[in-house]
This record gives sequence, structure tokens and C-alpha cells, in this order.
Amino acid sequence: MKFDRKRRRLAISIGALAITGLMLSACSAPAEDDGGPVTLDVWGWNPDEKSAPSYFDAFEAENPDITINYRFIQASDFVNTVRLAATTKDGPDVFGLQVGVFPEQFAPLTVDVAPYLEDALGAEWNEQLTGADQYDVDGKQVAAPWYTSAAGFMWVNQGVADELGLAVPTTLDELIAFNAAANAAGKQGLVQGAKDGFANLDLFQIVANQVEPGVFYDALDGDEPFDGDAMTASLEIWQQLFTDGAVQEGALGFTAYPDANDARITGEAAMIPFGSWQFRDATNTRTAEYAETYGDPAIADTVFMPVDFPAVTEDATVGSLFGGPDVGWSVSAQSDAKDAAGRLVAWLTTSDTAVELLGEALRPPALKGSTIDLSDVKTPEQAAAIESLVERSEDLVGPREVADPDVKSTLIEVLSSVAAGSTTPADGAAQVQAAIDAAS
Amino acid sequence: MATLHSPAVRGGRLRALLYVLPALIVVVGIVYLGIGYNAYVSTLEWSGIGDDRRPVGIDNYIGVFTDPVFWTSLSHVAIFAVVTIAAQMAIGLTMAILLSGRIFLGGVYKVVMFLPVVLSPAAIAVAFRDILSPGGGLNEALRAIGLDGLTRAWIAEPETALMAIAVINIWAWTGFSFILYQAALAQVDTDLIEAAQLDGAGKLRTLWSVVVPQLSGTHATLVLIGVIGALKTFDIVYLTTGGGPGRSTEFLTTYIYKTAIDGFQAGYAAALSMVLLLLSLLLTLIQMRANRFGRS
Repeated sequence: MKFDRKRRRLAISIGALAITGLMLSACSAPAEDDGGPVTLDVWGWNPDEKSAPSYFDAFEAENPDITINYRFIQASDFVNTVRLAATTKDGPDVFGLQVGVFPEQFAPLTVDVAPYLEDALGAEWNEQLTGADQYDVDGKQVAAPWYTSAAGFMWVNQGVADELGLAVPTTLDELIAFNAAANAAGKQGLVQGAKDGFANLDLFQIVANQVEPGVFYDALDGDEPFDGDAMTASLEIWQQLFTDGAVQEGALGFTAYPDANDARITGEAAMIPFGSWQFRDATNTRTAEYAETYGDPAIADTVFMPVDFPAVTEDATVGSLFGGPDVGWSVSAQSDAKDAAGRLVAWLTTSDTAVELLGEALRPPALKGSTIDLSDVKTPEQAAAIESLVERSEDLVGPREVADPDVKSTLIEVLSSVAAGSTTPADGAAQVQAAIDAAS
Repeated sequence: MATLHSPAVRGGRLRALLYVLPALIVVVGIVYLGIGYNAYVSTLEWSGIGDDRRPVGIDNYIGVFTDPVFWTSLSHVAIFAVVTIAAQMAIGLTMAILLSGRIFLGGVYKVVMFLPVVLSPAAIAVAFRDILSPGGGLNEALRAIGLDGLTRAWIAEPETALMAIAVINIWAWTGFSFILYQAALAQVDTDLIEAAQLDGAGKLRTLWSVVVPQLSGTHATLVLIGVIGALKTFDIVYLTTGGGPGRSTEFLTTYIYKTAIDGFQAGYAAALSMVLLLLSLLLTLIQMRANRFGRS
């Protein structure tokens, strides 16, 4: 069939319109049918791609009418990705959520998961989940806590300490001496990823809690002055860590992950102030994975030991832990399958299967009374140390995360500039106090 | 003959419109509507999530101009722009002149000069973070030549971090200046050069008084692109220092990102973005006008 010129032009014009229409229609997806089998899109930064199937395959086995489509997103990109996606029906049905500033900010994008938790645990559900209150925004349960983490101690690469012939430091002077000896041997002592705000917040809380346990959190709540003696003294010690060699040279240019973490895993550094989220480092499985990842079989035999951070003053209170839920699960308000999503969240946080899987991964479940499986831990000393830390985690001195975004960003900038010497501890404390005042 | 109002002309216009419609939708829908929406958001107090939008008029803009971090960031951008543009133009022009004649392996040198331009900023940032670290290549080189006293943590100290980023940018983008100058040098009127030499002008005098003025269009282009590039610089800064230590390498772009993403202040970040856009437009207009005056 032959088209004349006029018809051909008309066909091209209609084609252009059709393409334009298709481009526009591609922006929307059909709604999911509520009846029959359901596929849930689940987005998270944790678990990673390797460990995620163990949880979701187990869920699918127990819930054959629900299929999980899990999307792992790197932690650094996660919040930014979800904050946009969760406003649409094309986003996740279920997504991971941290505590701190996020529950309040993400509250409008979520549904209250309390009814699902009540179905699973009864009316007293919130007393059975550690840190559930950190996801409570004006009476709305924005997420259900999955597992918890605690910080306030450090990890020692025992192989490096033994190679250097040095005892693990218990005071600031010993730490500085340890670092100097490590440097002389071409290694590093304590490594701090001080380019990252979260790493500085962790280490500063260790210092502040040693100076006066709990005052840091009272000051953030406005119950104590942040520019008072305790916090100013904490900032002075904080600055000392950087000026006196308690952390490595150039720490402010190091990231926690991968720079500092790589250094302590590969044996270039001896210590790092990380918390319970690294418990698995004590297992044979994890060190074997590290050996493969870093291409060094010797890492498989490395003993990573959690120990208390050295005392930073003569009258320091050593050993306070801070923390709360590490990961929580939210149901998107845009989900077409909220009930199925709620079932998944309740299963992940309260079911025997999920809790057992968390325990095997050495992630302390938020569900109280749960245990973790220490059978794969390399040495009895490591197992005892972890057991002790889990026990101490039941009495946390405060939450790890700062709830107000302005206060958090001010604190992060102050810690960095005080460490760099461009702000005095007193001025830094005053800046944080001003941010607290403005937020309240 | 078809008149302006004839069906044939009207049909032709309609068809032309249909042809450009997809591109028009993309440009207007994404770029201009995006700017318009950003301008609207800049009048709100809003976290960027949910429906808690509260109109605040121009309060965010008042906040911007009384915000010390804004001025600090702007001063960093200005210092960065002056240093990088001057260095990139000087090195680019010098290398273009040196490699303009017949030189052994000249093609290889040109590729080496231009190669950094095509590298990903992420790769460049990772490499330079390593080179500029306390135990990195630069400090090792300084120690090797007995300059131990000059070694330092280049990107971790507030005194050197901004200049370290400028050096990274100069390394990454000088090849671009080099290529533009190479192309421009090929267009230089050789009669004028010969005339100058006949009049007794030396090489430097010829270069300065005859060649460089003929490259005015290229100078203007590089300054314009450099200024806009400095205002837009984000990736290298974010990946090397993240704006720190403290605020010592904070740029407008990193401040906007932190304000919107970490600080959940979408309205204020939008106001900062609008100020950045207006600054870019203003500087572009000034330079285009200056370039036109120069030519006239």
C-alpha cells in the first residue's frame, strides 16, 4: 500500500503524538490488585544482598501468598532514594528506617504499624520491643524495631597488638603511647573515620559519657546546659584526641567506611571505635569472608576483640553504652498492600524464625528475651566479651542518634571544626547550645 | 502561493510543533518547571517530606543573606574560582603553545594533557584522597627530597584543604583549557605574527602582544565556563572533604545538599539554590556583556 505525501505527514504527526503520550503515561504504573497473591517491594540498606535471602525466603515459606522483591540500597544513598520513592505508589511497600532524625521526618510517609505488632505480641507489645519508643512520633508507631546496636567501646585487631607487643590501652596516655609505637612500626593505633559525622558523634559520646554519663543526652533535651562545664570539658578532651595523637594523623580526611574499617581489618591499624554492629567480626564466617574480600588468607585467623574505650580522664566513668534500634521496618502509606506489608513487618520483628536468624547473625533482636548465637565466635574470650556487652546493652545511657536535624548538623560541624582547631571547645559548645535553643 | 494564514502554512507550523513537542516537554517539563517549582518551594518552610508546608514568603531569602555559612561558602567558591581559572588558563595556554609546533611524541603529550578531563570525578577523588593522605604519594615525595617539614594531611587540615581541592580541579580540567587554546591557536593570523617579528618583536613580546589578544574569545569562554563550573562544583568536594574539616571547604552546592538532605530543610535549601541560580545568571550576563564590549 502506498501512502501519499499528505497521509505520510499525518502518520508521522500521529506517531509523534503517540510517542509523547507514551512518554507521559510511562510515568505512572497500574495499581496492584489487593486480591490474590501479593508481591511486596521491600527496600533496605540492611540486610545486604548476601544475607537478605535468608530472611525473605523464610518469610515466603511461611507466607506462600506473599512474594518479596527486596532491593538493597547502599546506606549512603538510602535515605535520599526512599524519601522520594516513598511519596509514590511506585516506591517500596516496606522500607528500612533508622532512629534519630528519621522517624519524625518520615512519619507522614508511613502507616502506624502498632496494630500489626499488637496482633503479634498483644496489647503490651511496646514493652516487648527494645527501643520501640524511638520510633513513636506523637503516638504513631512509624516503624517496628528489628534489631538493636550499642556503641561506647572499640574493636581491637588482636593480631596487630600482639605483633607490636603492646597491651591494649586502658588510659588516654597509654593510647597515645600505643599509637606512637604503632606509627614507629609503620602501622596505626586507633583509627577514626573523622570525615564522617556519625563516626565523630559516636566517639564524642564515648568521651562525654566518660566525663559525666548521661549529661550529653540531658543537654540535647535542654535539661542541662550544653555550654556548661561537662560538655565544654568533653569538647576539650575531644580536641586533645586529635592534637595529642590519640587518633591517627589526618583523621579528618578518613572515612569510617571504607578507610578506617579497611585499615583495621587488613592489619594496618590496631583499634577502631565501632560498636555492636560489628559483632559478626568475631566469627569464623565473617573473618573468612574478609579474607576472601581483601585477598589475604591471614585475615581468616584474625581475632577482633571488643574492649572498653580507654579512660580519657583520671576520674572517667568507663563502659557506658549508648544505642537503640539499628534498623526498623516501616510500611509505606502509599502501599497498595498494607496488610501484607504489615504482616511482613510483624514477622521480621516478632516471629521466632526471624529472631532466630538475627541471633545467628549476631544481631541482638529488638524483641526482648531473645538470644544471639555465639557458636561461631572464634575464641571463648570474644564470646564472653560479647555476652557481657549484650547484657550491658540492656542498660543504655542514652540513644545513639540525635533527634533534631539542626542540632545534629550543628554538632557534627562543631565536632569537626573543634577537632581541626578552627573552633575552640567553648565556642563549639556555645554553637550547639544555640542550636538546641533554636530547636526548642 | 501560500499566504501566512493559508491552511498549508498553518499545517506546516503544526507539524513543526509536533516534531519539537517531545523535546519541548522534556526541556520545559524538567528544567523550567523544575526551576519554577524550586522557586515555589523556596517560599515554604518544609522538610521536603509530607504535607507540612508552611508559606513563609521571603523569609528563607532573608535567612540566606544573614547566614554566615552562606557567605563562608560563597567566599570559598570565589577563592576556588580565581585560583582554578587562573591556573588552568595559564597552564593550558602554556602547554598549547609549547605543543603547537612539531614536537617528538606531540600527540602523546596532547592525549596525556586531555586525559584527566574524561576521567570520572569519583575516580579522581579516590586517587587524590590517597595521594594527599598523610602517608600518600605527595608526602612520600616530599620526604624523598628532604622536605619532611612540608608534609601534612593536606585534605584534613583547614589551612590546606581548600587549596588541595583547587589543585585537584586544576589537574582535572586544565586539559579542557589546553584543547580550546589549541583550537584557537590554529586560527591565529600568522601574517600578524610575521609582521611583528619583522618589526623586531621577540618571541615573548609577540606572544603577549600579538597572540594572546587574538585569543580573547577563548579567554572569555574559559572564564565564563570556569565561573559557572566553580559555582556548580560539588562532586570533587563532596568526595574528598565533604565540606570539612568544619566548614573549611564548604561550597554552596555542598551546603545546599546538606541543608536539604541531612537537615531536612527543603524550603531553605531551595532558596539557596535560587540564589545560586541567580548568581550564575548574573555572572554569565556580566561576562557576556564584557566580552561583547571587548570585541567592539
